[in-house]
Amino acid sequence: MKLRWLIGWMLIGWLAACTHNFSGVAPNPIGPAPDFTLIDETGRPFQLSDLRGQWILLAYGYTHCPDVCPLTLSYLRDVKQIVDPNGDRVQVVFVTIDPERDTPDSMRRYVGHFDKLFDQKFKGLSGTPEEIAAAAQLYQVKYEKKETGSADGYSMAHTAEVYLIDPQFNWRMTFPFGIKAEEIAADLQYFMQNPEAK
Amino acid sequence: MKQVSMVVVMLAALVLAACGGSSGTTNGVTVSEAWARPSPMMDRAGAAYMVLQNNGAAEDKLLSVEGDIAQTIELHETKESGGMLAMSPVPNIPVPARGKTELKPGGLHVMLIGLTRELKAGDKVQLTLNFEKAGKVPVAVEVRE
Ligand SMILES: [Cu+2]
Repeated sequence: MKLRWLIGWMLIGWLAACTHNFSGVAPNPIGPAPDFTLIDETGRPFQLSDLRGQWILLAYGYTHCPDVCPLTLSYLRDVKQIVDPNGDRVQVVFVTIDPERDTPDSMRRYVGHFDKLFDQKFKGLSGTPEEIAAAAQLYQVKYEKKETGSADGYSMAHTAEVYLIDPQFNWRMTFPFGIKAEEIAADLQYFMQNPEAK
Repeated sequence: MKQVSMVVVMLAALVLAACGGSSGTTNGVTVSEAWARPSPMMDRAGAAYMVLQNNGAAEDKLLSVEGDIAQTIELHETKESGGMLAMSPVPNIPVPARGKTELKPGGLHVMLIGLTRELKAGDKVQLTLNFEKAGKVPVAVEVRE
C-alpha cells in the first residue's frame, strides 16, 4: 500500500518536471540554425557558427535606438547574469539592422554598456547593407527605414524577437518582444537540464 | 449612530489623506516614478519614463519637455505595425481626467537627443514638463538600470 503511494507521488513528480511551460516558441521542426558571416565589434569577420558549443542568444536592433533595444539587451544581460554569470556557456549576439549608421566601433561601445559585469563579452555585428539584409532574412527579421521628422534622424522599424540557438547549433526557440529575462532564463535552464526536451 | 459618525470621521480622514497626498503637485498633474536608463553612448539618444497622474476633472496634455540634459527633447511613442516596432515623435501626450498615462519602455517616452552629459546610474536629471492646463511641472529623473 505504502509502495503504491510512493510510486503515485513519483509519477506526479515526473509529470510536473515534464510540463515546463515555455515562454518562447519552438520552430517546427527544430533544425540547424541558419549561419552567416558578418564583421564583429573588433572589425574582424565573424561566423555565427564559430560559437558552436555554446548557447547563443541572438537579437537584432540598432544603436540609435534608446527604447526597445536597450530593453532587449538589458533583459539578455539579466539572463546571462541568472544563468551563466561567470562562465562561457551563454553568448549574447546583437546584430545591427541599421548598416548605414552602425560601425564596428559603435557596436562595440553599445554592447559594451551591457556586458560590463562579464568576462565573456557580447558580440556586436555589423556589415554592408546587403550582408545585413541576408543575415536578417535567415531569421525572418523584418526592418525598414522610417523618416519621422525627429531631430535624431531616421528611425528603424524592426521586429524585436530573441532567438535561442543550442550548442549543437540548432535553432531551438524564438522569444517574442517583451518576454522577461526571468522567463527566458527559465526556458534556457530547462533546456540545459533536459537537453532532449522539445 | 456611533457607527455612522465613525464612517464620517473615516471619510473625512480619507479626503484629507487624498488632499495631503497631492501636496507635491503644485498644479493638477502629479509625476511619479521618473527614471531613465544610463546612456550606453554619449552620442546616442536617451529615453525617460514616468507616470503622469491627472488630479483634475478635465483631460490635460503634456505638450513639451525642457531640460539642459539634452539639446533637443521630443515626445515619442514606440508602436507596432506589421510585427515591427518603431518610434516616432508625437505632438502631445494626453492624460485623462482623474486618470493616468504611463510612459514606459516599448511605449511612450521622453526622448533626449544630443545629451549634454552622460546619464550615469545614481544621478538625478532635472526636467520641466509643460502641460496644457497644469502648466510647468518640475521633475527629478532618476538614472538607473
Ligand atoms: Cu524615441
